[in-house]
Amino acid sequence: MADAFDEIVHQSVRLQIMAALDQARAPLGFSRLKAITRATDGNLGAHLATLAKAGYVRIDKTPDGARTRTSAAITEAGRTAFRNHVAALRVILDGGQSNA
Amino acid sequence: MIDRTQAADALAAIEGAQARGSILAGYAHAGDILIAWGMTWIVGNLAAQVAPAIADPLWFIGIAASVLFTILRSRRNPHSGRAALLALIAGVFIIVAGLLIGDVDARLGTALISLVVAAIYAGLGLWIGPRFTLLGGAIAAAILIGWFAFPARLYLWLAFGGGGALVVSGLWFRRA
Repeated sequence: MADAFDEIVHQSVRLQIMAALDQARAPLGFSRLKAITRATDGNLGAHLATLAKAGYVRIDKTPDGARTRTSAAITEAGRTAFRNHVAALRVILDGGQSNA
Repeated sequence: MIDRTQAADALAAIEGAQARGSILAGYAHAGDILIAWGMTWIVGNLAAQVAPAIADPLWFIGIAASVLFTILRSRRNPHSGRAALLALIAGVFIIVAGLLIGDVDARLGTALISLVVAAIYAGLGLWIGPRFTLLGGAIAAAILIGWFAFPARLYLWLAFGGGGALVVSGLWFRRA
């Protein structure tokens, strides 16, 4: 279970992003994620990019007139990583250890 | 190495994010429903002000349509079965209360029923999110202002104050 602790997921904003996406049944828009994480635009964008690079989320950009709408969805790899990370946190809380 | 406190904080952050996500999803889902009910309020109350003879049939049609829309819209969200039932119960209450009170004092009946609806929205806020409580307060304020300050134009106040609050709130909620 120590191997399940995921440094990429564990960062505070990324953890909230993954939590929200794991719960949602559909991709979430940038503004929704911003409201959930209370991050700034730049901060949220950077963390989404990190998660996308790790293969944990998929980012879609669709044109909306003159603007671009960004949405994110969790991948299967991301869902597995997040849920394993949550399990690792619970082990630590129950008195186990982490290799972090 | 993270300790138990840090693990607990992380789990709390997860819970907080998911709670905020649920509330915002609830708002977004409710947006179109509020707009539908707002349109019913506007049409029904306008008719009561300017064409009383057709107000009751318009209210009946509007309430039935809004209840149906709420039920159909709620099918998209598997957690909204209770919201759909609440809409049905509220719709039946409004119609029955209107039939009981309407002949005694139509203005008082409309104001009382509207206040009950405002109270329901305010109470919903305790479960779904504080925006509903704000909405209930705004509707109640419109009713009371109309009743005490502009009694001859009560229905207009209910139409644009109460109905307007529902429509504007619906547009706000949709952006959540």
